[in-house]
Order: sequence, then structure tokens, then C-alpha cells
Amino acid sequence: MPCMGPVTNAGCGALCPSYNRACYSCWGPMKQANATALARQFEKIGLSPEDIFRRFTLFGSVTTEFRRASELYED
Amino acid sequence: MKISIDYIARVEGEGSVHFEIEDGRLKDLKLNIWEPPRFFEGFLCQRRFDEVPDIVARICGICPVSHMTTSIRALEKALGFNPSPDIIHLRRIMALSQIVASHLIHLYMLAMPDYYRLYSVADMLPRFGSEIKRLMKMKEVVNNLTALFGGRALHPIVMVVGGFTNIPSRDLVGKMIKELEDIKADAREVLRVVSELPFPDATNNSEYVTIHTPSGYAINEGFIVSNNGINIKEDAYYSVFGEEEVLYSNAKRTIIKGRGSLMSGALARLNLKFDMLHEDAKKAAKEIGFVVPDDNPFHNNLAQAIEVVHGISECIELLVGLTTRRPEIQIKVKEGEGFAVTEAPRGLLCHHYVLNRRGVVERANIITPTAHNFLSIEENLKKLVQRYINEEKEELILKCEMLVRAYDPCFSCSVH
Repeated sequence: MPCMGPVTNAGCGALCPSYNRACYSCWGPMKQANATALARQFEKIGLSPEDIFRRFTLFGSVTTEFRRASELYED
Repeated sequence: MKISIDYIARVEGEGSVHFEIEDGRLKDLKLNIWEPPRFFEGFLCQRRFDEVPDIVARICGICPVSHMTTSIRALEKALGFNPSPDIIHLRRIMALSQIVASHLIHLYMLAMPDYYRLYSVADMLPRFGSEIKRLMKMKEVVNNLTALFGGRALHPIVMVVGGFTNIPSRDLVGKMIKELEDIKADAREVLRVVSELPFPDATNNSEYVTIHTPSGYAINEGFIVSNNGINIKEDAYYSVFGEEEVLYSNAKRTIIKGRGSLMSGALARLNLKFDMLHEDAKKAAKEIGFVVPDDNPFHNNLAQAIEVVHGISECIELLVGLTTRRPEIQIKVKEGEGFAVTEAPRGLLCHHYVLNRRGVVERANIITPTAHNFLSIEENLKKLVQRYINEEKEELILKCEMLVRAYDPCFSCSVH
């Protein structure tokens, strides 16, 4: 599952993963998260560029952290 | 004399009422929902179907479950997926828990202070401490119920297109049943307190509209019915109802084509399907002398309190009859279009989506309860002002505010 946990602000106690679904980063990015690395990982597991773009533009799309990743996959 | 209620406090979102009285007659009245538009229908386009419920949940902080359920049902119809009875059962628990939570908040924090001539729930504390404690206790229990099945009470995460990602254990469900049993008596007390409020006299002549099924008190699915002959499948919605733009408001206004205003919400539900209520709710309603049809729009508060009794009793039954295995989520992506109507706490809520072959939203339309009630609020405000036109200005303003609040409008939802 393309989980946003590794780049997301902590505080919810990893709610989504503990309920069998991928984190969708509703708390936005943690400071200086390496979103680009996670985006590349998503590419490796077979996500399309559009889907990767959507992962980083759902919540916190205007943050510098997520923009670095989303701009790479924007057509 | 021009009267402007520039900012109606104690409602969801931002709106105002303006009217003019000349020679003892009401000249003109407008409900202006000036909260800025939020463009949800716009930015939902180009999102994938499985992101939609999480996005639309953010339309409302009080009824996220309603927006999620309605969008999930519309999307599942577009994708040709039929939810199993287990899934429908779970969604009903979610919906009822939220309806009870929403009604409690509305009754105590938004509506009630007016009737005691107080400004807020904080002002109620010295005189009604035990009542406020009751509110907190009940709200906590029903929030826990939403969280038990949804992962969290606000903007749940477990409810997704195709089913639920988690089912709570038997132990936790057992504990929940006990907690709910514990607030059953409180629910009847809420109804008693609300029934003793001094509701002003008023009559409504908007058409009552709700959804109905022969199998139970319809919340998440049903035929659209009214007290004036509407009886259609939800897919025929657009043939009967029309959305129109209003120059002075950021929210759209929905009417019954060729007929005019409609009223939806707790009072409409009770007026049209009282017989489908849980026995406990029917009994409690009888005790306070509530009889249908009831045409006083202020009694929407009373109807909500009856639904609180209903919701808790039915949730207990649903929990007792729960199967605790998790249905597999199986969704095949395809092109399609889906439309769904549900009963949100404050009335009818519609979601409509067109998906392309990659399951991406091409078009979205959302019609909220407050859009449905918009014209009815205005019409009943006009009648109210005309009826109480000789009262002091302050008293008249208060009555107008009380009527708007009785509808439990959500202006934030209406400008989605």
C-alpha cells in the first residue's frame, strides 16, 4: 500500500495503518520530510505518475515538502 | 423600518437575515448565506474515486459521516458495486451515531440558550449544570460509538468505498452496548427537557420530504417521498427537484419544480415515517404528547430529541445483531455515473459523480440539506414576522433567529 506515514506529521498514533489502510497524510508533512524519496519508492512499487501526484496533493499540497515531490510527477 | 441580523450566531457557518417593515406590513425578507464558496465540486474533479470520501468528509465537522456515506453510495453505484447486508448494517450504525451526536450538539449548544433568554451554553452552566453534564456524557458515548467503527469520531477513516477496513472486537462491542444502555434514560430526559421549552406558535406549509423504505426508519437509502404525493426512486431526483442560483446568496436553493419550497430534516422524517420509529421512541413521543402531523417548524427541535431516543435504542439493537467478520473490499474500477440520497441529521443530502474509465472524477454535484431547506426557511420567516409584527424589535429578532436555528442549518455545508 502506498502509505504516506513516513513523511507525515506525528500525533494521530498511526491511526490509518492500525486500521488496515494506508495513511493519506491528513495532518500534512512533518518538517523537512524527504517526500521525494517516498515518491520514488511509490514509483518502484508501480504507482502511475498521476497517482503519485495525487498522493502529494491531497492534504498539505502547498507545503514545500510535498511540492518537491508533486512537481516531479506533474505533467 | 429596516431590520438586519447581520451575523446569526449559534448556527453552523455564516449567514444573515434582512427584512423591512413598512406600515405594519413585511415588505421584503432575505436569508443571505454569505459564507464564501468553498469549491468542493470543483477540486473533486481529477481526484480518484477512493480519495473522494476523505475529501468530502471535510465539508462538515458535524456530519462528516453523512457526506462520506452519501459519496460512497454514489461512487459504488457508479462502479457497479453492491454492498453486502453486513456493510449496510455497519453504515447504519455509523449514521445513527452521528445523527444522535449532531442532534445533541444542536439542541443544547445552539438552540436551547434562546429559550432561557441566555446567550450561550456557557451561560446555561450555573442554572443547568446537571443538564450540561448529561450532554457531555451522552456526546462522549455516541462519539465513542462513531470512533469504535470509524477509527475516530471526526472524519472517520475506516469507512471506504467497498466496505470497512476494520471491524471492532466482540469485547469492545459488548462494552459499547453497556455504555449505550447507560444513556437510554438520559435520552428520555433530553426529550422531557426539550418538550418543556416555550416554543412560539407557527405553522409551516412547505412540503415535507424524506426517504422511505418499508423495512425500517430510512437513513442511508430509500425512495424519495413527500406528504404531497412524491414517491420516486432516488435516481429520478432531478426530474422533481431543481437547484437554482440566488443572486444575494452564495448557497444554491433547491425547490420542487412547479411547486416551491420543501422542508427536510427531523420534523419531516417524523411527519412522514413516525410509524417506522423504534418502539422506545414512539412511547417516549406519546409520553410528551407529540402527535403527527406536527406543522410547527420550531418543533424540529422536539423531533430531533425523539430521534435521539430512537437512535440510541436502534444502535443497541444493531450492535447486538452484529456479525464481527470483516468483509473483503473488492472494487473493480470502471467508467460510470452514480447518484445517492441519504438523510443527514439536518435533512436530505445528495451526492452525484461521473467517473472515467480510470475511476477518476470527471464531474461532481453535491446538494446539501440547507439548500433543500433554504426557501422553506425564508417562507416561514416571512410568516413569522407577519404574525409577530407588533412585538418589540428585539423580541422579533430573537424569534427570527430561533426559527433559523430550529432548522439546524449548516451554512458551511451549503456553500460547499
